[in-house]
This record gives sequence, structure tokens and C-alpha cells, in this order.
Amino acid sequence: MTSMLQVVEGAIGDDDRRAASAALLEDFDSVVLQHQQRIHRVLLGMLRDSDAAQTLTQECFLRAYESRGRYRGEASVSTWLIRIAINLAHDYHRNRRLGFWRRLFAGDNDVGEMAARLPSDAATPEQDLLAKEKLAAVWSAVERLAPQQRAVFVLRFVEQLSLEEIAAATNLKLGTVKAHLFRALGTVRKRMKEWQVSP
Amino acid sequence: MKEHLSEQQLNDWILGQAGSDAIGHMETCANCRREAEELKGALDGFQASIHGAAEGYRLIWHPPAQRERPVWSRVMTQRWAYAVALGAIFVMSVVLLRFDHRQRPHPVAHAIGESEILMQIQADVSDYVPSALEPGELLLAAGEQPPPTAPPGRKTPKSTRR
Repeated sequence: MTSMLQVVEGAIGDDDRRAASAALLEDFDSVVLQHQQRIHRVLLGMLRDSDAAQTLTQECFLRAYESRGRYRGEASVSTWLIRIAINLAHDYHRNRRLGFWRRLFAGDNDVGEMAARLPSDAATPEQDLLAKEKLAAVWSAVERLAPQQRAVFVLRFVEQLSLEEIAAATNLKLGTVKAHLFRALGTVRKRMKEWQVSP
Repeated sequence: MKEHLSEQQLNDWILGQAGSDAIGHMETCANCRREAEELKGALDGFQASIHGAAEGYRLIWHPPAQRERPVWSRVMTQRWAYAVALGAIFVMSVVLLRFDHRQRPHPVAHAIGESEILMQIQADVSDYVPSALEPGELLLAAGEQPPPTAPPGRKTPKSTRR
């Protein structure tokens, strides 16, 4: 018998997945429980704003709930939810009026907070500080990426999705996903070199 | 001395898609290995920071209350309804435009009407007969019959003499 976890992880056949996913969506609470962390992480990586990520995670599940009748099981539940989350993040970025106020009040607090959360296995406080500065450099590079590139980057390096899964979640071709990843890595590497020259 | 890995080969290595040549080179070249591991370490730190930030997160989920959607809302989610609505708007526009076109007088016709009125006024003005000459006018209208002669000894009224 098809288990709920199998459906969520997409580890079953197409027919089973369609039938079981439709049934699974009836029990939406399990979907929320299963995917809330991942969706929140994706949005956190894309927005660099904890409050906005929480709000959009809520919005993502709300939209999924409202449109669950239209879900056909062509992609896994996870891919479907990530797609909704990415669209929400893009809409959020497009909103220029909000962007002005966000930039005005946000500052770099979230980067600092996230840097502080870095698991510290450094031997000395100097090494710890260095690691946090390096992380801040990566964040600043990620922020320079275009929204589409950022989405691809986050899905790959935060969620460890395969290139095919990223292509399905972003509605991009495999070659385009690769190109975005290469450009994103190039930007991060460049920023890292700048940081090494003048940390 | 062996050449170092290109940017693309390093990217492939990071993405776990490096060929056997690049993997072999990475085992022997400390410079490339250091560069790749430096980047990989930074990316791992990025991942760890997000996982750490999201760790305690728990969504408070309450499904929205089911509401009965109004009929028009249910109908307008169908694509054909939009097509029908657009068609109806088009037909209405055409009908209204034609109706309006009929109601409005043609500008040339309007000009002709005005000139006719002016001519009529001109004719009326030119045909105007002063009240003193009205009896004569009546006579002319009655034909060429001579007016009955007044009895002898009777004076003509003053107004006619003026």
C-alpha cells in the first residue's frame, strides 16, 4: 500500500502518485507538517528576511490549500509547493514600493542573525569570526543574484535538489538551470575573492 | 607542470558532475583542491545558516473556513464564461454604436436644414407687407377684380391717405 511519506517524497510510480496524491491532499495538515520547514528555508534563502519568509510560507500553504483541487499529481507535492513559494518570492521582489521601505528599514540585521547561527566548530574566536565574515560574503553575493538565479542557487545548495528537480520546480530547461548555477557560482566565487583581498 | 582546472571544471566539481580527469587532477593539485574546498566550505556554511535559522520554525496552520462561493464567482472561473462575456460586450458595443449613429443628425444634412431655414426667413422678411398696405395686398390676392367704388360724397378714411 502506498504510504503518505512515499507520496510526499515522490518515490512511487506515476499512477500511484496521482491517485495517492489526490487522497493525500485531503489530509492537508500532514502536507503542512511535512513541508513547512523546506518551504520556509527556500523562502528564507530567497528573501533574506525572516518575517517575510514566515508570512510567505503561510501564504504558500494557503494558496496550495485553495488550489488543491487543481493538483493533478504531475509533479511531486514538494515540487508543486516549491513552485508556489518561488512565484510568491518573485512577486515579493517585483513589488518595488514595498522594496523601498524594506531596504530603508531592513539593514543587514538578518545576515548578522544568520551568521550568528552558523554552527561554530572553530577552534578560536578569530576563526569563528572569520567563518562568520565568510558567510556574510556569501550572503552578499547571493543578494546580488537575479531572482531566478537565486531560486536555482538556493534549491541546489540549501535543499540539495537534483538539477532535474530544480528544472521541474522552476519551470526551466535543464540547460538553463545549469547556466544559472554556473553564473551564480561565478558571482559567489568572485565575491569570495574580493573578501579574501579585503575582508 | 599540469594546468589548473578551469572555472567550468571547478563548477562541475562543486555540482558533483566533474569528469574523471578533473577528479584525478583534484587529487594531485593542492591549489585547485584548496580553491574548490574553500568555496564548498562557504556554501556549506550558507546552507547551515539557513537550516539553523529555520530549525525552530513551526507554521500555525488553520485551514480557512469553507465558504459557499457565489454563483457568478463559480461561473467566472470557467474559461468559456470569459469568452461569452467578451462576445456579449462586443455585440453590445456594435449595437450601441449603430444606434447612436442613427440618432445623431448627419452634419451635412444639418447644414442644409439650417440654410433652408435661413432662406425661409429671408423669404418671409421680403414678403412682409406693412399693415397699411394689407387691404391692397388682399385685393391683389383676390384677383384682378376692381374694388367696389365708394358711394359718392363719402370720405376715405385718414389712415388710407397716409
